[in-house]
Amino acid sequence: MPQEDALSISASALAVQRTRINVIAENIANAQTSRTAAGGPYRRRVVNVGAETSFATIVGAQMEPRGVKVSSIAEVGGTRRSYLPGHPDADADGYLDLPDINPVSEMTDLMAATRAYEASVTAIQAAKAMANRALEIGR
Amino acid sequence: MADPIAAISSTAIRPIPPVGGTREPAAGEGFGDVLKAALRDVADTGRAAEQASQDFVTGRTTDVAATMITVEKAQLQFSLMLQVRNRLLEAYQEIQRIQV
Amino acid sequence: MSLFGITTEMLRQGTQLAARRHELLSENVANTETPGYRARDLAFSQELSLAQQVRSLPAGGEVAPMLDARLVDQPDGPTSPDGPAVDVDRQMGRIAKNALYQHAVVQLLNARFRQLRAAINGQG
Repeated sequence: MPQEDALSISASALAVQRTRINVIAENIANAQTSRTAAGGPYRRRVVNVGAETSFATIVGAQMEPRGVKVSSIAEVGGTRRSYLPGHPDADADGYLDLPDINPVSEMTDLMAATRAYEASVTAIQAAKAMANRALEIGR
Repeated sequence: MADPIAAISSTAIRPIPPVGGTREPAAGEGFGDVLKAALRDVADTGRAAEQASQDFVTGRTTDVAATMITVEKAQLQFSLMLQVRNRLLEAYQEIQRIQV
Repeated sequence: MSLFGITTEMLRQGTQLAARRHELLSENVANTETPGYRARDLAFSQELSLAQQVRSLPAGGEVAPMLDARLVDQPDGPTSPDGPAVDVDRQMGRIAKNALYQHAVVQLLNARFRQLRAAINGQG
């Protein structure tokens, strides 16, 4: 039934937004990380979102609601050289590679992801309310 | 102080006019005519409700309240007609019982 | 004998349309981050479709759609330079309106069924 499909779509959106929120939080937390476990400074990551290719395609109609999924989490960030002579990881000249992460921009993304998450929650609530009302037809 | 009871004069409290017009039977008009008039009202309000429902569901109007009111009026007219018909039936059956 | 006329069928189709529209709008909300996604919507026509002028319904089987609703591309306009065209807030507004529509249609259906039941029972 369509309400069920709408719930799957919204649920997939919740999962994607949750992943985004996690990744953004990691970026913010690691904005000053000059040395990761793998060596080298932390690099900013982004979540690439794609449409879910799915079995929910409705044959014969124009609509193919699908939902979304995370297609990849990629390291896209660069580094910037900072002059911090006292830092343990600084090189001989006192320079250091730090992640090129702008906390303000990460916060903006975080707000957008949170809003999108909340919007999908609201969509789920609306779907449930509509289904419940439909169940009561004739009651 | 003025007599408080007299202050509640008949002009202050007016009788509430009946909703939907009076259904006072005219001279010579019997229960059957009342029922016929009720049926006409049911047909009229029923048509209006039908049209209002169609207008709403096709999106021609978005006024939910007006639609609901029109439909509810039709429902009430219908219930009224049913009651009139039931009373008519009861009265008839009672008269039947009287005959020896 | 059939108790149910054209209007009941239209109301039924209305609930179906509301469900499909909610699905579409949920898809829009889910795709706020999908690059290149274009928001879509179901548009209800103001004109009655020809099928609606039918006086009685066919005996059984599929009834032609009586509500003219078309799938339309409805991008919300660019919200960010290279981002997808989905305005979450506008979509939420549409979702709320659609839920209200479905609620009203269900109420109308319930009222009809209630009245039919009252007529059958001779009470109420």
